[in-house]
Amino acid sequence: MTKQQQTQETARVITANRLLDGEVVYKAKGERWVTRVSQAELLNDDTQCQNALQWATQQEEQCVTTGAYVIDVFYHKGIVPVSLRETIRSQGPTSEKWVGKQSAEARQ
Amino acid sequence: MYRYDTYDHEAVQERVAQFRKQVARRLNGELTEDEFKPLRLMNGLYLQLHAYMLRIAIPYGTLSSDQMRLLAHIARTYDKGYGHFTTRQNIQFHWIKLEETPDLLEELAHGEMHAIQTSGNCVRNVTADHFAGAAHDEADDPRIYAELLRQWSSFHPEFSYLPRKFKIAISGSPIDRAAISVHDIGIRLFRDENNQLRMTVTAGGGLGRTPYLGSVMHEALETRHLLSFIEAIVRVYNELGRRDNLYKARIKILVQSLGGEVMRDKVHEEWHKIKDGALAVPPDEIERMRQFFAPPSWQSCDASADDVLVQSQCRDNFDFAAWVNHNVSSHKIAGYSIVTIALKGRGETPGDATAEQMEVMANAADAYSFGELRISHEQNVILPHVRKQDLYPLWQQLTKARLAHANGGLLSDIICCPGMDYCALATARSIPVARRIGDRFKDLSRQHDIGDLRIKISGCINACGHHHVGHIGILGVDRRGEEYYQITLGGHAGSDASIGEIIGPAFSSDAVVDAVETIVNTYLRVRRSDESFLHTWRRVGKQPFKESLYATS
Repeated sequence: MTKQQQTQETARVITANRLLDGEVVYKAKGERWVTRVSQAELLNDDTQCQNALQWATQQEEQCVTTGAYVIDVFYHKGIVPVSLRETIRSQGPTSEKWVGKQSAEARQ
Repeated sequence: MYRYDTYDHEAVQERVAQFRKQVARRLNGELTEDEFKPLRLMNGLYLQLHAYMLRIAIPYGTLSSDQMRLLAHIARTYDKGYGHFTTRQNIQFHWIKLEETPDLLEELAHGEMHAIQTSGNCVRNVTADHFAGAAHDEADDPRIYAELLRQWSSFHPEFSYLPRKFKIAISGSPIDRAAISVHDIGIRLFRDENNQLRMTVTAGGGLGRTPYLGSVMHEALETRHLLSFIEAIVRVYNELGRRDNLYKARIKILVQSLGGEVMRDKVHEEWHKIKDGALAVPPDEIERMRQFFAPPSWQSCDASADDVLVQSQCRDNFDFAAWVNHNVSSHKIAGYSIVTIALKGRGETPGDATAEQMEVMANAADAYSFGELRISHEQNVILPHVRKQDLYPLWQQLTKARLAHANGGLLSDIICCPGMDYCALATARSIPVARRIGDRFKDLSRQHDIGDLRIKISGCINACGHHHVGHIGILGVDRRGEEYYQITLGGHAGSDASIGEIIGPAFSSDAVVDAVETIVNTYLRVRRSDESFLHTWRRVGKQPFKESLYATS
């Protein structure tokens, strides 16, 4: 985390991988999954996180997603993951800009 | 090369059918992820950062041109048009869909390939010298024995749940091109004073968190005892290896804790119980296996005239001369050469090839190398049997496909794991560091002046990028959310293998390329005439490098 990020107020988001294809997904408001972290639901306290994770666990049981967990994010012109690992998951490999969520195809 | 028999076909097809049912049961909820995960891993299917990743075995690094085309087809149909050749003679596809995996595996099976035992705590893909069958200095073709080991280890019921994964490498030459010293078992073929074929067998080598070179378990094993002796080693490990601590479960830890001598005694005690049993390899079987690796039909040629031709072409074209100098190796047959296609172009990811490049290499193999290719643990592709008179037209074709990088064995021929750009285990990125080093040393003539210098980069302590045995090793670590890079110097994976020594505190991402340049400049300053980096390091030790690197701090 950079010093700039450390000064930002952080929130949390639920993420998982879609079972069928492994795509990185995020829990959005209204109990649904989205593929963009920018559309994720911000969770501001432990109760919200526990409730969201409970729903995500049910989603695993229903074979929609797998491996749900909580990540830290902050708000800077949109929702941004705190860790580099989650930034890469949310965009795609920094080494191949033409694949993943950052690609022109995915942005359409 | 080896062709599947009826048993191989049935075994692989049955596994595909089995996995198809397992995937269906996972998707309809009959299997939980905890139940399914070990099943998918047994078939080489991981869940990584962006998607599923499939690791496909390329046994002892040998591929036919048709198999390379099949990999290109897989890249195009099931992935995003490219694949990554790994440091263990596998290929990884990083954008796989679970629901499509059974179809993918079925296509692979038709091409006599699979992903079985490319993960899990079992005997993994057996690797070998990528110059096998072509090297001028080999005692015998190591693929004969690698294939015996592949058949022995496939679906081995006793060794399906070892304490940890288990990796075997084999070389037929005194020059170790297969990094055998840092494998769980390393095997080197040689001929004794009576010209009898023998094997030196080591155990307990490995990289990762605690790197060690293997200890000798047998100095001169007869080839007929190969399987029984290896079985004895793995059996002792299976019985005594730790299962209570993931980080202490590899055989290297067992060998270190027992001591090499005690381990050797235990292995020999076990071996004497089984050495003359069902695992003894009859000479007929070795000869039968040899037929699969029979040399191609060499064409008679005027070797000296071909040499004159190549010399003339080199004089006329500097780029071709550089490529011949660094990417062409001597062959056991006069008039032939071994060609290394370095997948290490500037701005490219080490070990990656696009589907189109795979097809170019397959076509080149058909045109110039009897349809044979090899994958090296250095993440390059080899054309093992190229006539010298064909080198120039081959180079021209490779150049058009951006595959004629004249940097084989040079600083930019970097081994590099996928790192945090793809891997769920990684703690830092490795590919961008490799690219930045390539950019810094973009002047090929500077690289030629520097000479033999191997840089190896891992994105975590698991050391898939073999950083411990890089002349310059770089390990990516996480420090409170920031990428840092720890540098080791003096590692080497060859015959006189050594584990690199940590030079000092880690460098930030911004500073690591400068640090590499400082190391290189220090080497150039203290080397004697044409002394290599490794020899210089072994002569002068760490002090001048440490002083240069940390002078300002």
